[in-house]
Amino acid sequence: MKRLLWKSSLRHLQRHPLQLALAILGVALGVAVVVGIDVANGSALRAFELSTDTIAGRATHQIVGLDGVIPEGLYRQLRIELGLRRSAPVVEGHARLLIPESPTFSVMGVDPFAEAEFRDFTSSGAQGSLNLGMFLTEPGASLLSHETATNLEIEPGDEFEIDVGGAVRTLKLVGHLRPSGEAQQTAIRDLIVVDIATAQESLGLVGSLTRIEVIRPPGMTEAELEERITAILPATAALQSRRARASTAEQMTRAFRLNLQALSLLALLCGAFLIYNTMTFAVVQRRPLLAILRVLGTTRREVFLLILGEAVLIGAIGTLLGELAGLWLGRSLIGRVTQTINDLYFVVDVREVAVAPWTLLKGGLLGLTATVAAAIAPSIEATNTEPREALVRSELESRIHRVVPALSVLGFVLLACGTGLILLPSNALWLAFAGLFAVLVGYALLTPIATMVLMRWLTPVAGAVSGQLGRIATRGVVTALSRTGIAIAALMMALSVTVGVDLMVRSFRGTVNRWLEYALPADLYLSVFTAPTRRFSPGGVTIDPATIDTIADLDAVSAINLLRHFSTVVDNESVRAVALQLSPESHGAFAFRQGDPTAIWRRIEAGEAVMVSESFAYRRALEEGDSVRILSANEVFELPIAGIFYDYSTEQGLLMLDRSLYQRGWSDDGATALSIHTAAGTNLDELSDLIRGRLPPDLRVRLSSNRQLRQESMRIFDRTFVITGVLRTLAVLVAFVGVLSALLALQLERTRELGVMRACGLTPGQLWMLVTQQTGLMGLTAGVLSLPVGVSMAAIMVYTINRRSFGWSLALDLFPLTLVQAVAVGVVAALLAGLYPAWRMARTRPSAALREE
Amino acid sequence: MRWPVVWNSFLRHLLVLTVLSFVGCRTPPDDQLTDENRPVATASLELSQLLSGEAEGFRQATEPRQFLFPEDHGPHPDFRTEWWYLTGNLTSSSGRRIGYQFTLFRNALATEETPRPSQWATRQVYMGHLAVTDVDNKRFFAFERFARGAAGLAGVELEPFRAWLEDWELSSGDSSPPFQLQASAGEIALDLVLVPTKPSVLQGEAGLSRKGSEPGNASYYYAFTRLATSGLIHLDGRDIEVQGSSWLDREWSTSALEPNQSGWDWFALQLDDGTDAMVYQIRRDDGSPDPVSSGSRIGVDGARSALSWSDFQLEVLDWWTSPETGVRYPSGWRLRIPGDQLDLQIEPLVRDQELRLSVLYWEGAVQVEGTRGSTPISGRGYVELTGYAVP
Amino acid sequence: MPTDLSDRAPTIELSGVSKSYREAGRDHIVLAGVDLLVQPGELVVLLGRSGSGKSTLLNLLGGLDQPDSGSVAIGGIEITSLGERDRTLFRRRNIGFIFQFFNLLPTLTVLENLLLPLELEGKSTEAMREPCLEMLAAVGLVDRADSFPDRLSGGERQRVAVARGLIHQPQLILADEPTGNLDVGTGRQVIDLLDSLTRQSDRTLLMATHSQQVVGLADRILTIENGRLVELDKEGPA
Repeated sequence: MKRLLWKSSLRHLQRHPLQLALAILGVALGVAVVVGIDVANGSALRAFELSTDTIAGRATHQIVGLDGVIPEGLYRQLRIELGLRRSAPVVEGHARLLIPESPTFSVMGVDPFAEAEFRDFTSSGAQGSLNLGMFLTEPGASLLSHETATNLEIEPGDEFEIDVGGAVRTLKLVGHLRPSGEAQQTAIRDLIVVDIATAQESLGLVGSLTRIEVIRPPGMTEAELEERITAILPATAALQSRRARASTAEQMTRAFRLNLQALSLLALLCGAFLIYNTMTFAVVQRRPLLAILRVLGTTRREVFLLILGEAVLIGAIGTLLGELAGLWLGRSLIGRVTQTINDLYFVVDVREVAVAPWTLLKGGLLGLTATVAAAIAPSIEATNTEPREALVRSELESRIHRVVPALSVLGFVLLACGTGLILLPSNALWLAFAGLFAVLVGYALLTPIATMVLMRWLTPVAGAVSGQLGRIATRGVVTALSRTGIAIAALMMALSVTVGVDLMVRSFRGTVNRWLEYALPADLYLSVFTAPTRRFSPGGVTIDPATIDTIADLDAVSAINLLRHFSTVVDNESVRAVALQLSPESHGAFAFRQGDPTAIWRRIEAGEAVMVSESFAYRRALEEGDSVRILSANEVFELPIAGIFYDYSTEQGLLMLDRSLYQRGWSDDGATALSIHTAAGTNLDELSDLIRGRLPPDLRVRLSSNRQLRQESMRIFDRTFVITGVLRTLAVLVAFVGVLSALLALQLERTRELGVMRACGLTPGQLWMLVTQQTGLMGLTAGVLSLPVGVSMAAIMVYTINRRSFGWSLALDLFPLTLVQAVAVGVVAALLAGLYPAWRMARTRPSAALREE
Repeated sequence: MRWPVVWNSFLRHLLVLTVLSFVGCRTPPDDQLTDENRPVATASLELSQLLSGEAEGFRQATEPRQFLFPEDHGPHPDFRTEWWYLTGNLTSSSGRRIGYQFTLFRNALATEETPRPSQWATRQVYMGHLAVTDVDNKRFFAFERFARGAAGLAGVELEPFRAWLEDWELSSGDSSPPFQLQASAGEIALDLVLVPTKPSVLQGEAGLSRKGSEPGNASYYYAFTRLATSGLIHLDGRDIEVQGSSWLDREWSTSALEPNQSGWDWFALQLDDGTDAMVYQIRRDDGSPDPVSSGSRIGVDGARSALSWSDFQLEVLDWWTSPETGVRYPSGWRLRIPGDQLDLQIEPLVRDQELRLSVLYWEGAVQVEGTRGSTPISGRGYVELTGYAVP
Repeated sequence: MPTDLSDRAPTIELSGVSKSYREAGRDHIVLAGVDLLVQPGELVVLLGRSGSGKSTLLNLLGGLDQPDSGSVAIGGIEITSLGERDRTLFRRRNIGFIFQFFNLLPTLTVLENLLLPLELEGKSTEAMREPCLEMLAAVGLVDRADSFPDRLSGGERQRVAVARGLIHQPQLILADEPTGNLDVGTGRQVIDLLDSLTRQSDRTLLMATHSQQVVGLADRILTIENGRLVELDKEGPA
């Protein structure tokens, strides 16, 4: 590349510092959002991996129960009969300390004699070495990391209480865990290590293990090992390789992360528009200059590379800044992402920001690619500059008007393609996102023609309102379409993202709210389930029938429903299930997708059929009438699905069956939750106290009114979407920067034209009016155009993306306020963006504006 | 005899062991790592370093008791320590000599058995040692295992008799001998049948074997001093048919070595005239023998007569220093029992029979040559040496 | 390489060149089958009203535009049949342009504006510094070498433009109303400068103008009437 060409190019950028800064800012913001989300996601996953690595140690395989547990005898079989001595039994669960704001601890029961090859942490006792006798023989003997014990002020020898999914257990600190490295320091922070016997007893898992870890012996192939182990596994157990386990967390959160990533890509898309916008301006503004270069013998290729080079430079700086900002953003988003993952998926505590090199690379690639992609069109545009245009001054705008029809056709094609992608009968989430993006870009391409049409309609109106100036304003928008079109498209995109995301969240919220209205018909809800994960530890604590009877006997209790949450194996997959015993007034808690509820309930209560949640059915492609195969402890049930009900509590899906069936299959009379209908006029607080009085003292329950439960649910819901809100705000910010830069360039570009007007006698005030009207018109156009786009986007997200991500059907609610807001934000943003150019124009002396070169 | 100190001290030993179990600090690269040869301990411990231990709460061997069989083949859980200790000298049909040691140690970690719902809960911990001496090739293999005495992983049951640690097992068709030993580790496997050719004998004073001057510093001790042994030993990828003679010691106790005692040398000898001899010598800190040292000899008919300290003289003829640990052990003795006109030279069949496991000691097959009066006599046996690693 | 001309000024040959533009829905014929032969070293002046097609003719000669029909050959090379890239390279190497609106690059200094055509030809800008300064001296602007064009007066700018048009020693110079934006005195200076610089090195110069000052210097005078080229008698009335 020629040095002088470059110099000329750089000097041009230098002379338009504000435009340059805004373009860089646009790219930076886009990249920052992508990197930030990636860092937050990556850190959460990395923390999860780290904790599983430390906890899973060096195991190459593990045997897990599909219903959460495996019979303990399996370990003896594995170790003695198969001779797989590099194996270790683990009984694991979650617990909290009985202190406010307790972190969630992982209670891990191990057999010290089998541990050495699996895990790296050291332990020590009060006098330097641990008393193994105490650790093994004292019920409740436990180890905490030194740091945690110190923070909690628990000394060796002290007893402390934990809440294990509803039951209070007493543990005794007999020693400390010592990390063997920096990474472990974090992993053992929320770890309570106990002997396997203590773990079984504390977690209610006597007779069971949660997993067996295996290290493949040298000289045995993976296939051999798998074959030997699989031969002795019961149907409810499965062998997983380490790789498979690592990907479980990844898969569980895949939809969630993909959604976040897609939102971050929307921000980048806005950023790309900004670059496109900036570079197009750079070309349009410099067309005479480019023409001179062409006359002097610069080839098209050289011009192309020149413009592209400028874009790459802007992109590179913006990307670099974006990466830095992204790291910062990621750090501040981690809390939110983690909160959501904890609310929805599994317990993970992120204390460190993990930045994978890949994250930065990806951010960089995306930033540069978006820049280059956005700059290609303007660069080609620049090469089309005919040398003779150096000699002719008109014709600047005629080209864009010529391509408007082509753009519109392309827009329609993209719209059709996008719609086609979305309508494809597939469950692939990425297809839906690809469709969404195609639709968005398609709409963006239709912006110029829509703008022309709108302006044609508005011209008489504007003329009637403010006369000739008004007409100049509307015509100005059309005449400068190559520039206004992009600015409007950028603003439109950003506004439609706001509209789309806002409508989606509100629709989601509305649906959940309506569901909660009927799903909680009882007055009081009692649950032993306090684990933060919404996951039931296998086995676990239950309320015994005698206690339930004493509660049912209370005068104020008019009806009582029993629920038993458990894990089981359905069609060879681990599934969350609930056994129900409902009073008829609680039947209304379930709304079935189709079928007669009375008939459905009759079949379920007769134990002839089960019902499943919508997401359960969606994930497994099941319909009413299909059969499922349930492995119970005592027998195998092959039962039809009587009904599919709406449920928004878990995306993993739920299977429900009658309690009588559960008792038959699992020989268990306990309940994990009760919902209580009360007699009219009951004081719920008094009743709660009465109920608490009848519970066994070591049972910790959560007792809430339906109102509290609803509030709590909505609170969690809102927390889940906080991050969405943050992203939306960032997208708007990017768009605002875009509009600012577009309008700025547009108005500065018109310096001469406005100078002529000033020379013709336009007062500074009138000039103000003109610029303001024009930017306002553009904002209005963007706002109005964003409505159909935003609504389309919301519809795609509600009907396709959410369904594919979570298996829920939601109702799309068009909140008028959101729509009005979008238009208002558009106008205000445009007016704000027009302020500076208008001020500058008005301040400039006409003679200066007229001066050439 | 085997000193109860092994087990009295095992409790203390385990304190450290736990650290090690969790650490695995010296984990060798994966390919070299077979389950048993991995050193659990970073620095092996000397048994006699771990002498003291609270005996309170456990039953103690304070006075002679009535032995009951087959019940006494089974465990005595209220005593802190107990073992089933087999050693033997075997010969293949081609004349290849092989020695072996199989020991199952039981240790109670607590005085009371608390009833608990979990099947994994126990106060009993088992340690197993397995060693094979390939005399002709001067090779020695030693392995070690631990398991809790619960969840079917390890234990001793009586009907039928079964003492096992995972897949190492000493068992019987009913509650009494003959026994069957099956154990494998690494490339080594043993499958032997053991038939007593003499009845069991009660050592010490009718089974009460005193180790120190304090009452209670004693064990209950009986032995099968001669068990005709036959079966297969798997070595170097081949099954070798072997025959020979083994010795089973059974001992349980609670108490420990006394503070001024540092270790012991123990000899179990089977002479080719059909008699057997056992002597042990406890060393004090200054190296001098403790007068509680004693022994016994068992006639061809199984009749036992006791030996007190003054009845025998033990003289060290040679020393050997372990190149691995630097510990210096006696390696060659002259044992004289003047009352029996016995004058024996005892030589290790392989010098290095040091068990470099969590517990560091020397236990090995020996060859005996000498005279009874003027008649030449020879024999085989096992010698155990402890307390040498203490600086 | 088809774009190379010999050092001698080229013969220019137009045959049957037609060009029309579509404007406001109807065709406007600018050139209708123009034939022209210009000998090497000639100074040809194109007279005519605005819009008569002078600029179109110059554009066609410079390869900035393509005729609807006919051919343009310069030094025997038919530039109308060259590709866009080759035409650009031909122009870069062989033709110097001077415009009414100077068309200097505002982002480059005076010196850099001169250096640019040389750089485009791939010459080292360091080595070319001296010749450029000499050229600037020739147009009397050596002291303004490091100024940006917006600091110069109109006459000074046009002198820079002349210098830039000639710096790479093109054999053909096309000037489109070089004095159109200048006052009479300044225009005269520029014309004299052009004349002396081209005559010195025996180059061909085609100049579109309506300035009578130039006529006296011209070897031949042409005008375009109704799309056809008419040769005027040098002494005859303009």
